[in-house]
Amino acid sequence: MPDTSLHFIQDRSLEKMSDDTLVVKAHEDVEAFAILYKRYVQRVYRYLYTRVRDPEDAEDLTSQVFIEAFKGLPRYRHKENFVGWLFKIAQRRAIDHGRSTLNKLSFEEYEDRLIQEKGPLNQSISFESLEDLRMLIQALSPQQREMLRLRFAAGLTHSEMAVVLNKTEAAIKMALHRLYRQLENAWENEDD
Amino acid sequence: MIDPEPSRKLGEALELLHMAPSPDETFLNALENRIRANAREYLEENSLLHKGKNIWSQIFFPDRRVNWSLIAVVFLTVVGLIIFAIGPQRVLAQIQSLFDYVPGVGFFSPETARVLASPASQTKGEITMRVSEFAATSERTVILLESEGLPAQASATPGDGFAGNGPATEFSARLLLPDGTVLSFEQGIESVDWLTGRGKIVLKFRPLPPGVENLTLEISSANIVANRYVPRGWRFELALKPATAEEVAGTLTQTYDYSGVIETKNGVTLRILSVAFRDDQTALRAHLQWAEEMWEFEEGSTFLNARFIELSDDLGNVYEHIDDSGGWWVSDAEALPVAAGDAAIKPGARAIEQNLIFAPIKPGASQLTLRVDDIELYIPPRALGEIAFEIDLGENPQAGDRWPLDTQLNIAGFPVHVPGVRILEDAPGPYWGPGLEIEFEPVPMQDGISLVGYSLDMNVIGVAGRTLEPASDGGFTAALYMEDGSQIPHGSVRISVEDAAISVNGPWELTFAAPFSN
Repeated sequence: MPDTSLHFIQDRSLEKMSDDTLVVKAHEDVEAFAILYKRYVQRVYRYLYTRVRDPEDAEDLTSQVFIEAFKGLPRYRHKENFVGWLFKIAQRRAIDHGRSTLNKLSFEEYEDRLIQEKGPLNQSISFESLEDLRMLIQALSPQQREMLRLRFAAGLTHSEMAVVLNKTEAAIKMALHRLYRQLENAWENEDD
Repeated sequence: MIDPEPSRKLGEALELLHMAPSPDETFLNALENRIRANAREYLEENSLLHKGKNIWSQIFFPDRRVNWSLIAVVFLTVVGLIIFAIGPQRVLAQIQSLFDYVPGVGFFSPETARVLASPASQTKGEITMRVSEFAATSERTVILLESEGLPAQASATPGDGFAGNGPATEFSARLLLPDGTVLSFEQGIESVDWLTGRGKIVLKFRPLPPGVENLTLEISSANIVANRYVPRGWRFELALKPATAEEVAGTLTQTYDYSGVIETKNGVTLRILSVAFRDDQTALRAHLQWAEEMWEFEEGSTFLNARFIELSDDLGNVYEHIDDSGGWWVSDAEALPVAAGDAAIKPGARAIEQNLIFAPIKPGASQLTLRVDDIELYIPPRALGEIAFEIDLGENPQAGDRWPLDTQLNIAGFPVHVPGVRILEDAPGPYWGPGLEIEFEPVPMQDGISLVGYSLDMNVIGVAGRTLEPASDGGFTAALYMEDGSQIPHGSVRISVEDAAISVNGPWELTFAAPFSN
């Protein structure tokens, strides 16, 4: 019994630690990395899913990302921004995957699957209008599409995005500001 | 700058378009268990390789993650305690000892630092063995023995000598101190060149107590002397003398110096930083450096794994490439000064490092060669710039239609000719719809560098995937596929090149001495 309670206390304390502290502890403590895994696995999976649109591939890539991240911990620079670093690995894995594999799921299948999981899409936005926006996004540059994925699928902050995309936080904010305005104007014109 | 926010409607729509299903709970649990198991195993291995008390690990893989603030606090505390405990008159000497750090050897105190006063040798028949190096610090004692006149017949003796490729089976050495203390050896590594009959043995012992001036080294058996052609029972009376940090460093570190193992091919320099030899594996730390700013190494990529990497020795043994765990990491590697006369790479160029793990080196090997055939690097979109061409497919394109083109692209400096585009008749997979095939003629190698791949995109809604495959003529055939059920694209379409991969051709062949073989 004492062991169990001690373990519980240790786990609780780990859960409250910052990413950087956990990274340091993870060099010696498997549990510390397990906390980082639990903290970010959903976001990494979602990001990868939107890149490959296939659940099995997304799972496979998610596994690769976390194993790669663990092995790469000795190379992680303290205070580099762990989330940005982690998604940089995820991004590279997705690029690698994209070279050799096709996206396997059509948009309709993808949407059907979302509806199955999340219920009907927001009724305030018509399917046609959403399709218009999707077409506009498809016409964006790969970098702009990646920014949207990192922001809306992975839920990264601007500073985390800056690490992944090798830009300053100010540059990311400026680029996103322009992108939102560009999409809003073009989307509005499509509606007209 | 204020955080940019989309309008509420756009934000909601973007979230909808980027929604993804939750990962399967079973998968999450299985992956967590797998990561825990892998991490546990990795930590254990890492602990053995990097943090164990193994002298070779410490010499070849000094821990690079140093917490300087902690060291500063500890240092100031120690200085304070020393001043308090022994008074200012001895502080200077103590601080001096703290700073006596010898790269590859570690901290030591002047009381225990010893080197040989003179070499000691013994001859039995045709065989002479000589203790040529001796270094004692507060952390370890290391002895180097060299032998001459080893009979060639010994190399053909199976089972009980170096001729056998198995691990050391019989090895016994000890240090006898004047006060009767006996130090058993902790590790021994042997190497022999049977052609010349010369061999080396390096022995590691625990630290000597302070003040030892004389001792006896006994080697009752070792692979190098256990052979029936080699007499047993070697004994050396050794005279020691106090040593400075520089003397200790000079005695030992030269044995492990791999700084000259370097080769540059086509603007890429490969060098070996360090090597660790163990019973179960051989670990090389390789450093790759290039000047071209456009090139990157894809972090987390596995390109190099698919390439030919080989470690072999002068006896013809080829060592299996077991693992390259740790991957290549751009973020940590520093650009190193290059060898004199090598103008291709400048300090400050991009650099990466990687541990390459091979099977253990077989006894008797004296020269090792690492060969890397080619290295693949990546050119990201921002470095590639905008590369695109347009084609009008007309209003009613049909499967099998082909449009001859004479489009010339410049991809990362390579002239790439696109002779045609055609609509594919069959989709290669169940989720793929119609495809547009783009033909690329062979691209000649330039200055030892080949263009080996690129990603394409098309400004048409519903592109589901892309392929790039080598064509029979040496060129590439690329295809962009629409989602299953989509129409064949029509009208004017724009095809763009998003990124590229190049292969820098070698081979790099780095030959270096197995430790203790010279």
